[in-house]
Amino acid sequence: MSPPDTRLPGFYKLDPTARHTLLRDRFGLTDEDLTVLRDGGSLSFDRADKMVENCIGVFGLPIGLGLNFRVNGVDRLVPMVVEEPSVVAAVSNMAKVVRASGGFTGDADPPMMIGQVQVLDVPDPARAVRDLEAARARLIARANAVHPNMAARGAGAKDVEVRRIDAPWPMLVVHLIVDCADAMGANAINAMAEGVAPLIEELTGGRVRLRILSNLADRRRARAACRVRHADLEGNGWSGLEVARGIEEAWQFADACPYRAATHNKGVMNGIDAVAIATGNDWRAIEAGAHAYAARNGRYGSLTRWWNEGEWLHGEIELPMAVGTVGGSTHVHPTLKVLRKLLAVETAAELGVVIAAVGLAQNMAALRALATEGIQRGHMELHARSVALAAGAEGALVDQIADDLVRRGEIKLHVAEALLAALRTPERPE
Amino acid sequence: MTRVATGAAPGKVILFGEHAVVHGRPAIACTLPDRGVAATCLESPQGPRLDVPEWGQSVRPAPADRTLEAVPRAFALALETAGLPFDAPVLVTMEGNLPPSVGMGSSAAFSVALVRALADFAGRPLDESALLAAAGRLEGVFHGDPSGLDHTTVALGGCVHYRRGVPGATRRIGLGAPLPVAVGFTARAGNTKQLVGRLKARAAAHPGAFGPVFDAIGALADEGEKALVAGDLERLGVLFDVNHGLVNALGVSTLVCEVMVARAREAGALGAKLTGAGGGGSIIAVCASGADADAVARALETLPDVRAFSTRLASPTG
Repeated sequence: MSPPDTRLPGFYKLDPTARHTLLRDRFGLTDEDLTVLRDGGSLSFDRADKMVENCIGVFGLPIGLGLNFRVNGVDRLVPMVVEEPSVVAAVSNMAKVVRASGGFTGDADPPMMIGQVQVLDVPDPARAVRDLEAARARLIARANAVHPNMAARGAGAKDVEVRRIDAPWPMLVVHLIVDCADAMGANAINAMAEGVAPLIEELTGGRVRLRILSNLADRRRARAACRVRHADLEGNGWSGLEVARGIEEAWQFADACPYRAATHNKGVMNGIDAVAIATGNDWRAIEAGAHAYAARNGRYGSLTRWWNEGEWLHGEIELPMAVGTVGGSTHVHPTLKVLRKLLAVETAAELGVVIAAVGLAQNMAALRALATEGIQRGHMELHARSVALAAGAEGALVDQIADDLVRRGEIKLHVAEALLAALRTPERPE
Repeated sequence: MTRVATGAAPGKVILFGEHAVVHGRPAIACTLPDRGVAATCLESPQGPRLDVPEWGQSVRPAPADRTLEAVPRAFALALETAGLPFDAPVLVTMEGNLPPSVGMGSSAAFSVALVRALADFAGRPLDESALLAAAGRLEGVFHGDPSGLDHTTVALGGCVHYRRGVPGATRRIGLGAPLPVAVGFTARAGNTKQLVGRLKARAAAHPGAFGPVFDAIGALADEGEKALVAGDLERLGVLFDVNHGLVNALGVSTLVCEVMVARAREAGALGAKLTGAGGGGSIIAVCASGADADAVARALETLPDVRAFSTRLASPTG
């Protein structure tokens, strides 16, 4: 099979059934898979009841398909679960622009996560630190004994670090460094942190309180980068250079100002969370890690960086990426299995890089819109399209009517219907 | 940072066929998901040395012709398997959370974890057959003539069908559903070698009495495999009960095992049986849910000198 091309021009114009036919014919989904997608509530009430307490129902969200992505030379269809309009369209547009220059590149750290054990009332902290460091091999082995299958496969606890906190309250914090392979790893890390606690108490003479993973997964970062020729950015009356400068200046704002950085990063997370949900990952964990990482230098800043060099706009993103392709809800939710087929990533590292690329593209889309015509225009255009469709426009008429509605500044159903009627009259005046 | 190499192996419980497996009948065992033995290797000029703090052991490797001590001999064999010289600069530290000598495969897990860690340290991971062979040799150091069920299960991981002397019969069984189980054990250690030897002598003296019992236990292993694949917990419970009756007929059960089995059934288990060699004794009870397994474990712990835990046996994923 030749590698699938994920450009799919005109996908947005197809009706949902035709989109399904295309996914079946070109991307190997079965009729069964399509039924799962179509039925929305493919997570049964019974199964849902086993997932959370006091379960009273199942909540649906749209699944959009991010198109045009090429990451490290591989085409990817990117399923995105999101309720906000224009997220999927915007990211697909930017992926198309980046694709013209070869697509995204990226890499991910080894899947190292941190489990924390808090130790209080340590009689001699300096000595306890030395004793813990001397017992490093024992602590690693004790952690691995709690989750032997993980270590048997070459993953598991790999190291121990001790942090001494003196103010405002004295405590020791023992970090277990755990290789989670292709799992997110939360359950294993928590079990390991609990498993080593008695030995830590014995070694320090202190009292262990918390034993839990850290969501600041800064050992497990994913990175993505792209470059775009200025000429590929021109449009809507803006030159490529103007757009590129606008993006860089918008980034400078975010980098300098936490009030802007929060919104800037929220845009990044629009894409990242959507893919995290679509792949069954804990997006709250990714959010927490991302924002903590954005503040790592003592001031909250941007997760991305944009700059211009010669004819090129360059962009990059780096953030903690605690995602897995095995474990968690990935085996419970039927829709996740179908979406995994579409995304077709094998390892957690591959998934992490795709997610980082989506975050970067989402950020680029937002900055481009904000730095040029402003965000509202894009929203208006999408809104106009749906009004044109509601009025009964089909094919090329949809865009024509939508453009007209935007130009008139009057995006209303009765206007669209009148425009459509006028266009359909054979002897309409020119 | 000093280079760290690691290895680990889970403990195990026998689901069907203890004792009968020594006499050539099929058996099924399953690894424990959250209990095992792990080894950490650090590079150190003081090496080679193997520390097992819990056993109070800190040993250098010694080949079989120089010592009768099991741990130094096992260490020497493991170094050899990993292709490391007897002066390799490696310091191995081992920890575990398996109760020793109660039939949960602590020596097999020790053997497999040690071999894995040294192979990782040497940068030459072992394939399955090399690991199985090495684990068998180390188990031999601890147990003389082991059935092979323990180290095979522990090395392969998951639920394993095994028949002594028939390598083709070894296979992983995919569990149709996770098994909520409670395991009870008593601190009084049993002597597997003694129990196996005594039963061997009795079976040889009374082949007409013991042969049919071994056959019936073997047949239960085959029935059990079907129930495991189907995830049929109720049926497993029945088969556990029948298997326990047959193991009792072999004369290896004890008062505390009988009391634990009875208590587990009273507390709501679907079925319960002795697991492992017997003697001191461990039992396993299969339950309808994790909550039931927790309740059975709590009920077992009310018995004098008995400790218990609940867990979920499942085919390893990812």
